[in-house]
Amino acid sequence: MNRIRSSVFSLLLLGLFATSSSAWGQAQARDVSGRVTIAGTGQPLPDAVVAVAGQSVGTRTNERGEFRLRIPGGDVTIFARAVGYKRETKTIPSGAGSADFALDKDVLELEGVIVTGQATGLERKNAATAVAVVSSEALARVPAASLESALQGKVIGASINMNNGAPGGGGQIQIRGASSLIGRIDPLIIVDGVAISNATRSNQQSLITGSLNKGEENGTNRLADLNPSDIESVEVLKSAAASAIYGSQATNGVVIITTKRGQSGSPRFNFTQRVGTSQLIRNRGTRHFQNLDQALSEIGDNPEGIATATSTCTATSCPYYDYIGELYGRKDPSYESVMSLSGGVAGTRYYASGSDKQESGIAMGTGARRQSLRANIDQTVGQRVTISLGSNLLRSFSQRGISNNDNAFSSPLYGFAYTPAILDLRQRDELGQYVLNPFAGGGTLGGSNPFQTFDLMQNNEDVYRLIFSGKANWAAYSGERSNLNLSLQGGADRYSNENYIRAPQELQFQRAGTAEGGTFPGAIIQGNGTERLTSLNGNAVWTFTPGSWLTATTSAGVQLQDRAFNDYNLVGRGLGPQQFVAAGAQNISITDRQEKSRTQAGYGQQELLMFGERLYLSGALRGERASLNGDTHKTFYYPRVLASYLFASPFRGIDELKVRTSYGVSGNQPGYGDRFLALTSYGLIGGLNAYGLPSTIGNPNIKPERLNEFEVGLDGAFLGERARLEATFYNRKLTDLLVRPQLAPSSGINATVVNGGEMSTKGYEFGLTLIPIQRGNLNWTSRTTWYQSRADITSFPPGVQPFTTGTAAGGFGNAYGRLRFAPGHTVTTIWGNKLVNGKTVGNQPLADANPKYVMSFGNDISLKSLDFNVLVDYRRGGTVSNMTLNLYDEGANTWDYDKPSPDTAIGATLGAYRYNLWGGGKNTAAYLVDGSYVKVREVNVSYTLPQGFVSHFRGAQSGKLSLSGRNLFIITPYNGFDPEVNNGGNFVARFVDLAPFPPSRTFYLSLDLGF
Amino acid sequence: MTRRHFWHGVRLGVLLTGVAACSAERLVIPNYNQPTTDGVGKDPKGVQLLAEGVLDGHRDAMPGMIRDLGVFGREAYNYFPTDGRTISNYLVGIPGPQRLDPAGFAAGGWTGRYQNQRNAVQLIEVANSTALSAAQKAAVSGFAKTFRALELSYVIVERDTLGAPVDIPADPNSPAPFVSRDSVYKFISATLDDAAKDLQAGGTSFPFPLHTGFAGFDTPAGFLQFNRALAARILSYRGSLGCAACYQQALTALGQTFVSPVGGATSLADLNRGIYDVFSTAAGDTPNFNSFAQDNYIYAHASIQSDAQSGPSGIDARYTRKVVPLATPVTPPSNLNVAATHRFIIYPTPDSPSPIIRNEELMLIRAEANIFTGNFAAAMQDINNIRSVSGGLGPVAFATQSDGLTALLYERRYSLLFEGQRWNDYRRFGLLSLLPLDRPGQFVAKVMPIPQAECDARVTKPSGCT
Repeated sequence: MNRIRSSVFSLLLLGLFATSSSAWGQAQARDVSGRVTIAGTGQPLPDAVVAVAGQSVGTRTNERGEFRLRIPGGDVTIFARAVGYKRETKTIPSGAGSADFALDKDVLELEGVIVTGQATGLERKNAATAVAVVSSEALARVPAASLESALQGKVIGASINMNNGAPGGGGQIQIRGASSLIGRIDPLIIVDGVAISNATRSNQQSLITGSLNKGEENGTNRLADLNPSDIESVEVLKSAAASAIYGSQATNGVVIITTKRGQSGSPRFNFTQRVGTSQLIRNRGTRHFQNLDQALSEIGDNPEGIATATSTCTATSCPYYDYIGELYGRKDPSYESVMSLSGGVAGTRYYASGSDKQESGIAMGTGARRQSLRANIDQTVGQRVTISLGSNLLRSFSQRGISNNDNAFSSPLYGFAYTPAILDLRQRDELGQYVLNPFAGGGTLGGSNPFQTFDLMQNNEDVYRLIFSGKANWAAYSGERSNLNLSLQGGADRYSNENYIRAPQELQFQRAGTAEGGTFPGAIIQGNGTERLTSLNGNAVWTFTPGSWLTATTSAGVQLQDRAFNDYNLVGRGLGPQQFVAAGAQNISITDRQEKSRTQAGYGQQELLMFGERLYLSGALRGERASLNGDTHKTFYYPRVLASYLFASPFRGIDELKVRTSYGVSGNQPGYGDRFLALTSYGLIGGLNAYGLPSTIGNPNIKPERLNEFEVGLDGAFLGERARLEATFYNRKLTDLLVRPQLAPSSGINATVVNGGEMSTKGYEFGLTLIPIQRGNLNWTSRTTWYQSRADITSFPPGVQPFTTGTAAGGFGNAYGRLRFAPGHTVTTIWGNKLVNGKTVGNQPLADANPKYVMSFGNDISLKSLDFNVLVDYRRGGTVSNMTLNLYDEGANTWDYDKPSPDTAIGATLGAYRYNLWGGGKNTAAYLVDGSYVKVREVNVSYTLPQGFVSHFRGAQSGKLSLSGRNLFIITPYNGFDPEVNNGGNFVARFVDLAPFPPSRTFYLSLDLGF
Repeated sequence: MTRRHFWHGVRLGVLLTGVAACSAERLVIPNYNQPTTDGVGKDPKGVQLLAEGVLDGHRDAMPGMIRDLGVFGREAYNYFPTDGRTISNYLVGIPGPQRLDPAGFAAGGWTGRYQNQRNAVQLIEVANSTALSAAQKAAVSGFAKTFRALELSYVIVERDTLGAPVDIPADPNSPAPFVSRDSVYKFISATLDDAAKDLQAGGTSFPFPLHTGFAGFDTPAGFLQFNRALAARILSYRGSLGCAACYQQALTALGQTFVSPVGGATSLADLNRGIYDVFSTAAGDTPNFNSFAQDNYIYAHASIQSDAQSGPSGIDARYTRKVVPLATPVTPPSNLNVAATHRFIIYPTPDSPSPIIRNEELMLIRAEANIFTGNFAAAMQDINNIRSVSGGLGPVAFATQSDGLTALLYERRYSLLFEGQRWNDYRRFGLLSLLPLDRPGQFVAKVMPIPQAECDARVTKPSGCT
């Protein structure tokens, strides 16, 4: 803050108090008491909120559903609400002292409070932006490897994909399409008001496999650490108007995670035990060789390969080994145990939980374990102060083997692609040594045996993490017509991510003289990365309710955020016997990196809820400056305005109809280091340090990207609240887009980074929820969603030519298709070589990785004690570069290689046809294929155990038995494991399938018991 | 609520804004991972760090260039195991007309070379802004300009008729124009001459250490011999490309180098005297990737054995010294199979140095200049001296330029095997068609393409961008 701005804030705060002082004077207060129950059953509803309309502070019901609330004199409107139930409002006449409520289930999700600011919320029915909230019930129904996986198909407009099937997670959330070309692409994640990291840390595995970049190392992103069963709800802020409150970290949207809190009443203990198993979702195997001649024709002149084929094949047959099925065929059980304890006495509410999930990978030697301990405490101090604390200790351990691109055949699918399946690679000799793979890379000279690799190599990642959040809220003033709340909120997220890779020298690809073993056979990498995010918010909220025609909420606050990142790896090559640490290796090197950044912000916001809560108007402005900007002292402003109007029964058959519109601006900070004109270390020469120009130079004028978004939408409830429709259109324009112009390399510098490009994204989102059957014992809710989004690059600054990403995540050159950012084309356009009159022309737009549209179908049916849920995802379009298929065709080992060729002039068999059509990359489109799919994402059957049965468990009051499955089937023309995978991990566009860890389907049997 | 509470609230609010207000300076955070250009410039060792950077930039690009040029010149195969493009991109290229892919693997040797030229320019600027003596500044300038010329010479050898830019623009957004091959060579010669003047004024020592590859040439006076050796090489290239006076100038330049007297090389060690890039497997350093012990997928062309002459004591000793047959042939993974039967032993370990220029090449440059200036006797003296000392072969005799060239090319091929010369030699004498093709569909590239990135970044495309 500069001095002027801080004065503005002080004045604002002063003004706020001064205004509120006019409303001073204590009214004639009285108590009202009553009971809240579930409509129909009459069961008491504990922990329902009962409050005076327009006021955020109220009271909660106890375990018997009873409440007591202090209200002003006169006629007062009070309401009761509870998560999952519809709100009920009652007017208490002057002098009356009791009120009972019976709340209906909120099947259509019409209710709830959504976030409108750092410290403010709004009833969902008034929301002026598209709302995306996923409840704990929807999240936890079918166990998932990580939170992304649990969110798939549940947020309209969010493209959520898992990078591949390795245990332990690794997935991407992209909200409303690509929002940056070279900047940050992941949404901001907020847990209980504290920003947490969702970084993917490189484990430097590429140093051992010879691949190109960290995305290919198949790391996990840190969202995988969270325990989904701790989550009460996930709210996704999609539009800039919704996310503007998070300023320059919000163009990719904001995922707001709220964890469970204690409820008043006696202690409740819940225990869940799950046991499950996983299996390959799709395995087509590899080519079946018919006889020795056929095998020899593909082995070429490799004498070791010829010898092997001659010994295993005969003139009339060859053996076949299902390498993929064997390596990825493990069905060891997975377990998950979750316990939680919650309750509340007097002014204290608590929620504590512990969980331990052990996930077995389908490949030998792979797996993941996630452990979590959480304690959330809410304490009221006196009448006006509430303190909420949350602490979460997390541990994630994963063993993910090797997958994706590599250059040593160490990635199994890569190696198998070049290995005719005629040799049992699992064989070991009397000394226990695995058989040498004589094919891929050539026996004594290189290559690898993936069975040996997965048996002997360690690739461990171990994360310990602490997330702490705290909030103090002071209801500084509560009057008849106005309230003042002051809050201080802060917290920290800190993790340590240790990686350990040990590739002993007996591994075939690590032996002396091979490409990776070289003169230093065997390698160990020991590393650690720590990241720390801290934040502190101070907020003041003044609510003024002169009458039922108006509730005005004024809020203001400041925010400080820090990030620190420290990462190192010790790399030892050339190992001695029984060596487990890098020290002592023949060749030791270090990688090391540090980053720090800081953001300071202040905001003011005005919200008006008018005319019996029909019209909502809001405007806000956030000012922010940050260390990552070129000018660290310059303040950038992020404004927003929103409006919605709710019509009650405007037409026959329409229960409720809301129109909403909003405009907002959010930002995306430059990367660390972008602002510096720096030199770089070239390492050593003759023992002396050498420095020179880096290939990319910084820009001292760099500033955040700006997302300007206009959104308009409609929400309605129809047919006696049996149907709900939501429709949204958005038009986003990104300005000051960060672009990386590729300079002419002859200038001595390859690239720089500048602001100035523009991008335009338009999209539609529709959701339709129906309740076809709603009877006492039988209920059926069906939800269909549809969205499409398209991001076009509209302009680059003068002189900036189209540019490529410069990383393998953006594709492997023209031959295989790559991203190339050019005005007039979509961000997701795949560019490559095209044959024009027999001449290869490069850099041609060939296809688009962006799906035409995405749908999901959810159905929840309950019949007495039985619940049945199914979720199906459908992606239409979206091109994939099927490089896995290309590898297998190149190795002549594809499962369908021998099928009839469509054109024998090009290739004698189908596989040869494809490979020759591609012609070494002359015709890229040959392996660019449609990635449409239908996936049965989740199926769940639950049976609520009868009370009589539950009582067998000592002390148990409720119980449920569930059988659930995830990713059960995929229906797709795609010739591969799964078009959802991506070699480059989280990236602006996903389209490269290159030897992934094959995705699997999982089944779980769960028992929930409540005590 | 009382007024006391109210004022508590005000104080809290002011406190919160105050926290932000007094912390503007906390937003200034340095770059922890790289020094800024300013920071290096002001460092007392700044000149040394940047000079070593120039040496390093040059060294790091050499093994790859020798490989690439070796593949084009049918000396080597790059059978990198997991990507067939190390074969297809070099030997097959793209059609219409058949040429190398500007966006493929065989478009290298450009970015790093120009980056290092810019490093050299920056080194001079930084040195001039320090308190170094005038002689020391001149020495730095002579060093930097020599390397700038050397880097550019590789670029034009690779691009030949496509030409290349010669200026390093102050504003990297405004790339320098392309000029013709002959203009590039003239620029290189002029830059080397300019550097020579600086080195002559450069006093007795450089203000930074030179690595052991410069042993004997690590003072401005010694370095001047390196500079003149490079000048002679460039002049000999220019001579073969039509510059009438260049061969005579090359002979003059050679007189200022460490070359042996005519026909006077006494031993292999004598022929190997020269300037080298040094490599190391020490942490942070760079190994020689052309050592088979480092990258075991670089192989030697079978014709090296079949074309080798034999002398009284058997096959050309340069063959046995530099190449060994494989016990079993090796084939690449893709379906572009040509079995490799030999590999190089020129760089036995990853620490083996790689020559930048050495006496044996200088004697052959002298022989070439003598052939094309009609002094066959002197040329035969040098050639036969090398045949005997380096190859263990008997003498040859010639009386015409054409026979002299045939003899010269054989000696250059075996003496400078896998040192990046053969492709350029065959091209500058118009003999590329003599290089063998191993399979139908392969071709001999005439030039390496202007990289796609260079073409893409230019608004007006140079003629080499097609």
